[in-house]
Amino acid sequence: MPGMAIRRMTLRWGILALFVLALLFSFVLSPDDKILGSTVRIFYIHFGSAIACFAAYAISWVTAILYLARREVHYDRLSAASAEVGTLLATCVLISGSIWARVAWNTWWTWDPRLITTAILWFIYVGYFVLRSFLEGDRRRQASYAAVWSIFAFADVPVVYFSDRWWTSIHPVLFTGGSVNISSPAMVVSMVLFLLAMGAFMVDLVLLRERQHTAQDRLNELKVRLRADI
Amino acid sequence: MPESVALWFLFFAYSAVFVILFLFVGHTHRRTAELEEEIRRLRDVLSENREEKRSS
Repeated sequence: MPGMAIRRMTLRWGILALFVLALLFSFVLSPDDKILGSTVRIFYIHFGSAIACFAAYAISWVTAILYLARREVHYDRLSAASAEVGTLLATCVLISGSIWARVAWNTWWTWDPRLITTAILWFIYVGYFVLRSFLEGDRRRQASYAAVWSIFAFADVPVVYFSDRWWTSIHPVLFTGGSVNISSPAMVVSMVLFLLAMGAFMVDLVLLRERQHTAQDRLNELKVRLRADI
Repeated sequence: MPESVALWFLFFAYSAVFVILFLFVGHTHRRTAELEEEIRRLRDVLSENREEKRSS
């Protein structure tokens, strides 16, 4: 479908433009933070990746429930694709957070509740892929078990979000009492631009991976039919 | 490291991460296109086989 291909390419160029804009805005137009200094620029990508990661895991969770309710395999593909992209973004969150921690806390890693729950989230979803790879031969069982895993895995997302409120944490709290703890409007714009860029990137990659999973499933079906024909 | 140098380093690190992410998207796109091409070829083979069977 050429129309579809053109739309996809336009979306991709749009995402690239958003990234460039976000970079220029955060490095040229946005000032240093009063408390965090210039390291606030690490936080922009960290925050954008974290929200996009949560959104991807939420899609995985919803589609996993839909799969169990309707048993339609495209929900499983979408769930797997979202979990993959979510985990890629969770990796970005952990790496950017670790770099920021080195500057702000003078350590790459500390046993803070926010960091621990995020690492647990990452490992839970790695477990999800291990489970899927173990059940590769049985498509229905793979989809059902993975859906159940995905539903339970998502329970850690709110725990990650509220961890710095529930337990004593040194992780900065961004939103308190309906306000954003950031000192200038230009910084909020930078943050929003990175959020939009990471969000659009997440959606594009989820759709692309879902298409790839669909193609892979169709190819496997065709191979079976061809073998039966021969 | 002076702060201005660290900022440039961060800027290029960001750019490198974005380039890597877009390369990954490009790779996924190419791989999907290859799979879809393979599906088209297999469908052709399958329909040719069926026509051969019908004619024989």
